[in-house]
Amino acid sequence: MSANTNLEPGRFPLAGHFSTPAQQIDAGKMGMWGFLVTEVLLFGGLFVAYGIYRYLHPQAFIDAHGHLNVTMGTLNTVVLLVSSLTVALAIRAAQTDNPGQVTIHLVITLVCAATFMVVKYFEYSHKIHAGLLPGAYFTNATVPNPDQAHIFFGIYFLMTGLHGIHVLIGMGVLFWLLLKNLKGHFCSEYYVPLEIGGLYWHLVDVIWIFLFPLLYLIG
Amino acid sequence: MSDNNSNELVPRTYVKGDAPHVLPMSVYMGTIGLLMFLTFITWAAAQIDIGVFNLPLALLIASVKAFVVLFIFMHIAWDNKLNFVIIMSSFLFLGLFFIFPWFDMEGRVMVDTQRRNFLPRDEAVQQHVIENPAAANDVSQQLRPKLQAPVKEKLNFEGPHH
Repeated sequence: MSANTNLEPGRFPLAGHFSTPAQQIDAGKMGMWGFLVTEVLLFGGLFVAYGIYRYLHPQAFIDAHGHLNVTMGTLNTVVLLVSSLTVALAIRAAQTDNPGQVTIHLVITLVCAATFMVVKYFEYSHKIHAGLLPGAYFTNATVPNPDQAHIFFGIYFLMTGLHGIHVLIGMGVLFWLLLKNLKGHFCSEYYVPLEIGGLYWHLVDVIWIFLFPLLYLIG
Repeated sequence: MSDNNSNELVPRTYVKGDAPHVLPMSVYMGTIGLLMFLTFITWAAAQIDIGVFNLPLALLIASVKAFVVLFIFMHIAWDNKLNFVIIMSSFLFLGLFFIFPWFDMEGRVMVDTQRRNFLPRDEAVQQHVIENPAAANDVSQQLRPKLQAPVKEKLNFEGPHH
């Protein structure tokens, strides 16, 4: 295990500008929370756009949302909630010095994330074939008020698209964490990367928690 | 110095961390059960129609779910309190972000009705279709005036429209 010479069990490098391990870990986590604030505001802009256009065209939003597949949306909600649980359990496994369980839970999380993207692929391809697209690309003749409905689909693709990009980036982060875990980098005293990656994944889940009722379940 | 990499300028110290705060497994299982139940409630709430309260109810349930994830899965209930303040500040600014466009949308209607030339985009399109019945079946015809008509109308501040 030559890769572990720097990281024998329970020991990790303390940077010179920190006085205690707790201080270093706290600073790292606080940095991540600061980043999550910028993420909330990034999506916030799109939520504000959603609010404005729904305020302007309430009926068009209700008519257009009927073309989203609620079953697929619900399935994706459940899949993301389960992945949130497994990533939390992966951190718990690291806290209890159980790297095998960390691997299992990270793999389940990655499978959930891939399932989410596959479902999203089927949803997107249906929209593209039905001409339910933003702006001038909107060609569906069955939706009432097509001159307003295209706004709904513009917002739908922007919000779910940006969220989908976050899922893909999250998959990359989870895969990197999986590799680090396989190399034996995590233990009960040091699992900060796992915790920070988990925070990112939970945020992706929280954003979907709001997207699901706002896009799929307008009533 | 034996545990240093040869390419490091500043020698590192290797330390042991503190014991982690571990939650019992039942907390995780209870949380996922609660989240699944709230997802069902989200769906059930969308099936009933309570008029203007549909949206606030959906947002309330989503917020409860978000806080369950935040407090337990994201561990903020047992974390440094400063992290809680940091993430709550994002919701504060998100609120400001919502409020000012909302003032604008409400105020816009008041200003335009006072000037008696209020012509929202939707009406411009409808009027175009009435004047050109052929446009009713042509999506591209319906999309086009939306971008042009309101601009023209906005320039006419003083003259009565109707």
